[in-house]
Amino acid sequence: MSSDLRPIAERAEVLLAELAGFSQSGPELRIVHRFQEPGTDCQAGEEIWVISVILRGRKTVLPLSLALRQVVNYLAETRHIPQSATQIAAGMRRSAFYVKHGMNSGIPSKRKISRSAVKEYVKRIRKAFGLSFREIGLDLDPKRVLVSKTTVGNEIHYQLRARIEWVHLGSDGVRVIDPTVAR
Amino acid sequence: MAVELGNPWRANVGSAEAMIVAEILLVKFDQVTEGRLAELFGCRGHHAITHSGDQPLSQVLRRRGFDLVILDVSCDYSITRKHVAAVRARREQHGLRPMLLCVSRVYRGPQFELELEREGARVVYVL
Repeated sequence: MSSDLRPIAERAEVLLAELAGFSQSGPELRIVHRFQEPGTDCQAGEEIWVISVILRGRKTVLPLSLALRQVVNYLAETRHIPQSATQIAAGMRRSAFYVKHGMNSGIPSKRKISRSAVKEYVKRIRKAFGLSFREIGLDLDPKRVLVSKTTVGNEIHYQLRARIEWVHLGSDGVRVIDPTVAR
Repeated sequence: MAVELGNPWRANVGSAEAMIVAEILLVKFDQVTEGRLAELFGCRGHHAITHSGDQPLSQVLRRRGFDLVILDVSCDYSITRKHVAAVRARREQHGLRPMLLCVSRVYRGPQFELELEREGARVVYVL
């Protein structure tokens, strides 16, 4: 083999750093909101347009229906707190963002999310994660990204373990929202 | 069987330090390169181990939790595929660990690289 092995060591360091990043905060998800009113961020009336997984500069769109996109967006917003299906349904029903979803376009696209639906949606979201992870060569169990946590009772809490980036598309072009200051 | 190389002081390090040291498995390299890589990683605070080929890679991976597998893919492609599949199977069960880095002395075109990347590996050429 060639005398210069430094490229191997350097690439190995990159992979180890990537592994440390994944272990700490999970994969990177990009959530795109459109129909943004100028000067507002993540306000009621916007639409959750697309959610993608990003790995090593490669991006793949999660095959999610409208209701699933809304649940992922909600779990992303509240990713620091594990919640039960009831809490997720309640939180989404009380949030103006989901009640007025897509209103800025003139064609509202809201969905009523019930407690029992959340449980089914969790399965479908994991399935979508699985398909997308395979597409970008990421051998990651979706259950490690959308995590189920047991409680001392028989309730299950759900939590999203991912780095989130929200991107807004409005009349003033594309703007990236820093995840640390968004909402 | 896995043979330990480099970083002989590691057995004495405390748990706090051990957390930042990566376990690296070198597969299919010649002895000279193995030694040099182990030294290189040892200098960077990692722990390199070489896979001698006596036992299937899947068994070695099962017995010890590696952070990174570095595989020389310059020679036989069928063996490469077998090793890549073993690492992938391990990752499917245990999350992202171990990461996989494929090293090649021969340029085999973008299709080769793409195939390995689809398997979750990264490729580096040492020409």
